[in-house]
Amino acid sequence: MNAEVKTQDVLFVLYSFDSNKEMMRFIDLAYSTKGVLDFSHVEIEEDLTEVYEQEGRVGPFETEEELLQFSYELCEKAKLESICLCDVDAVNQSLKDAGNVNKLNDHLLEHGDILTDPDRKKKGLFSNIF
Amino acid sequence: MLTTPVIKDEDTVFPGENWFLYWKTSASLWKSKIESLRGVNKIIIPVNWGFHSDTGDNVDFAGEKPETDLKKLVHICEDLGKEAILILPISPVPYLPNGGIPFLLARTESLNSTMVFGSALDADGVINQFYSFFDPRVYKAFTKFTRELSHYISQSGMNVSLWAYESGYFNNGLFHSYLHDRSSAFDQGFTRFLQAKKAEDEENSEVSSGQKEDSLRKEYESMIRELYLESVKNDLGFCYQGMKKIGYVLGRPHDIFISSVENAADSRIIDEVLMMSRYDIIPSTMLVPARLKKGLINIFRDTVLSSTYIEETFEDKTIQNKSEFVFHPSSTFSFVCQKEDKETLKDLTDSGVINFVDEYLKYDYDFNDLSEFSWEDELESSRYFYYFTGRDLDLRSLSAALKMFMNGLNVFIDKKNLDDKLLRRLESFYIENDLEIERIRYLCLIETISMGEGRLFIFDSSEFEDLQKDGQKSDKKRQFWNKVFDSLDFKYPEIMAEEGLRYTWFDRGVASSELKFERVKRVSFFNPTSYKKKVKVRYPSQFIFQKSIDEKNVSMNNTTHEIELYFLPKGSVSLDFGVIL
Repeated sequence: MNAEVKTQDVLFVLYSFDSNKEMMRFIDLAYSTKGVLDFSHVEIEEDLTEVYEQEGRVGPFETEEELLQFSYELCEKAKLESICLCDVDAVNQSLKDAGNVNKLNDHLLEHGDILTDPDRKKKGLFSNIF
Repeated sequence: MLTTPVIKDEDTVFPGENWFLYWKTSASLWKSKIESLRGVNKIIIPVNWGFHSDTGDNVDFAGEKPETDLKKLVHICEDLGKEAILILPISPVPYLPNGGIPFLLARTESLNSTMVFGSALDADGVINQFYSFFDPRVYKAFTKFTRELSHYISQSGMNVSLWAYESGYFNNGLFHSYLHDRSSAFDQGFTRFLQAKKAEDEENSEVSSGQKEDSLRKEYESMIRELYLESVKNDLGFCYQGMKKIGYVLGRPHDIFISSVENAADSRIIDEVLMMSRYDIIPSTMLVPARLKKGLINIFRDTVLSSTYIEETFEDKTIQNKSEFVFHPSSTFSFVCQKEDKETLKDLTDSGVINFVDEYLKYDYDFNDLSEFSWEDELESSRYFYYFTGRDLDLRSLSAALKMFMNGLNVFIDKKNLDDKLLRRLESFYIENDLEIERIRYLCLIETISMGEGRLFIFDSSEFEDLQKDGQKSDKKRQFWNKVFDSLDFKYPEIMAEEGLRYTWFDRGVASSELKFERVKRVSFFNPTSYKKKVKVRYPSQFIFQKSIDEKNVSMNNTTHEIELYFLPKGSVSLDFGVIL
């Protein structure tokens, strides 16, 4: 587990790939210790809202970059410092290791990708792209 | 001062809905525990396969562990004047380690459709992971277990009835079984299934080569489900009563993560129970943590998931014991369809009927599975309207719908996706019976036929697709259904409830002192919010207000044909009405 990151400062973003949709990425759940992020109350693009209303997940994101950028925006809106981005492997490993719900988020922090300081990272991200 | 939290033993061994978890307490305490259960006539005993067998090979019934002595347990129930009902899972269960299978068989993790491990959180916060029921080793061990259980029950002379059950959760109008799996065990079996299909296809051209993989996957899943069920039926036929679906409140995969940061709201628990009971799924609150089962939730459970309701759910099919004078969940409107088909659900949504009924007859409707529907049983039913979807109708069910109409019931048929042959059958029905058809056009062509008390109402909701602006679409559909119900001369209470309030309907037959009524209806209100709430009930003259009961944190103002209720947070009350039809 990343010792610098406190659970209460983290937005957990759980995502998966959809094999029926050209392995596009979808966010299945986003939450923090403040509660679950309700996408129906978050200003997101119309296309994403439609998918959320129909399927209960947000996407599709074609690339990791798109997913990251969207997650950073969510993190900013939620006023949190870090993102813990968890793919299916991270989620599965955490479910297996945790055993009890009290330890689940610690294990997600251990197995997920932690991205701190969204502002700085976003700048870095864009500077890499452009 | 440090205090040790007191774990209430009854929450552990009696998690609700008359269930008794025999492995969670010493066999020497069974009698005193069961004795302490007041007002419960039937004890539901879920058979814990993994507790009776570590390996899947050896099976223990009182040989080693005294807590595996089901015979003793059944006899204790009998001695205490209670009936023991065994229920046997044919899918992973969310409240047991490894989903309930023997631990040596827990080898292939079950995967859900997003490839996340199948798992659930039990009431104590333990994450129980599921293992694939598509693993041939699991199936083989299960058949061995059913044989051993059959031998044990028959040899020990237990007089007990047994039900099979499939576990799952309810989400977005559909039941999702924990059997569902996309693991390697599923894939291997599915590949063999496809090969067999292909070979069959070459011999028999009826199997379409264009069948989609998804529907084939479903077919394979159903086939395996049937294999497990057949094993129960074949080996335990002498005590087998039927199959039930059990839906667990807070049993969605996401609930594991959500529970890590927040407690489920009372409204969430109430909504899940109410929805499941409408879909003929038995709700279980077993996964709800004991700390949440208090106050309003306890009142709600006593009202909606009463012992009577549970006992009637597990009623021996050969006994018609359903008491007419006890309140049962009410269903004025019934959807008769393939209720687990997403396309059917879409047709119901597109026609606007589901939204309308959900507002107008909120929690006074249900879903009946077309395949299990028997129209003769409905002649004595308190249901008032029946709705059939064209997509799901076949000749048998269309004939049943028409017979219901001929017997004085109100029947709706949506012709959308109705087979051409059935359309012709419908037309010949009009001619053969020389029926006078009233045709009206409002958004679509509506045909209505009256015969005695029965009314047949036929329309084609595919015409709604022509409605232009999306914004107007739902309004127009609402208007359509409003007009339809206005034309039916059907009077029903209007309930104007503030957001957040929940309510549900019950009904019962009348006692000799109430013969002026046809039925008695009860509406139970719950305020799961932390705010004061108000509701106004405006009732027609056919509804005679009798009394209010179980008032808790509520005040009432009753004027002619109108009742106003003022709820404090977590308030609740039930109102009884005599109904003159």
